[in-house]
Amino acid sequence: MLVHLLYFGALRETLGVEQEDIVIPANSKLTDLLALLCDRGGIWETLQDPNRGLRAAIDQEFAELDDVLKDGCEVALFPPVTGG
Amino acid sequence: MTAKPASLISSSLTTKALDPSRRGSKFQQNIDKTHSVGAIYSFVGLVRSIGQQGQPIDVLELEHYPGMTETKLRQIAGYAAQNWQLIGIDVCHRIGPMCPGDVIVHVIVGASHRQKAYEACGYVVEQLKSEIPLWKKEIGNAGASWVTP
Repeated sequence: MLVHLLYFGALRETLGVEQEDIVIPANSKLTDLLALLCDRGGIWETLQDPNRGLRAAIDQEFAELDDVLKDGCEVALFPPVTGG
Repeated sequence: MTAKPASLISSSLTTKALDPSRRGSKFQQNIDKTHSVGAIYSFVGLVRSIGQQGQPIDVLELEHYPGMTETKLRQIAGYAAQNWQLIGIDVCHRIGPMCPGDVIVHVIVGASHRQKAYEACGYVVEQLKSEIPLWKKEIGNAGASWVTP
C-alpha cells in the first residue's frame, strides 16, 4: 500500500527530505514504517533513537507506534513541538 | 451546557504582526454585549532577542504543519471554552519569520469570573507548548538552530 510521508522541523533538515511516497506492506503499523526507514541506514537510523523524542501523526492526528496505517494515508514525522 | 456561538470561539494562524491592544478591545466589544463578562484574561507571548543557547538572534522562524496546526488550535480553544464555560476565547499564533519584540502568540479569554478566565488561559498556553505542531528556528550571526523543548 502507498503512504504519503511528510517531515517537519529539524527532522526535515537533517534528513534532507520534505515529503515522499513510499510503498509498504498492507496492515503495517507506524513502528513497521519507522523500521523500514531506518533500514535506509546512515542518518535515517536516528529515527529510532529514543533520545530524539520523535513524534508522528497519521492523517493529521497524533499517533502511537502501534497504530495501523491505511492505504493512502498521510504520515507526518517531526521532532517535539516548540510553539507558544 | 449551552454551546457557544462559533463567533465567540476563534483560533487562527497569521503571518502578519499582532496588535494585542487592538485585538483586546475588539474582543471585549464582541463578547460583552450583554455585560455578563466578569473577567478578561490575556496572554501575550513575545519573541526574545536572546536564543535558547544565550546567543543573540535576529529572526525567529516558525514552521507549522498546514491543516493539522489549525485543527489542533481550534480543538484546544474549543475544549477550553467548554471546560471553563467561557463566554469567549480568541487564540492567534504567528507563523513564518518574525523579529525580536514581535508578538508570537496572543490568547484572550472572557469568562463570568476570574478563576475560570485565568485557568483557561493557562491551559491554552501550556497546550500551545506541547500539543500544537509548531517548530521554532532561531537565526542570528552565529547561525541557525532549532529550539528544543
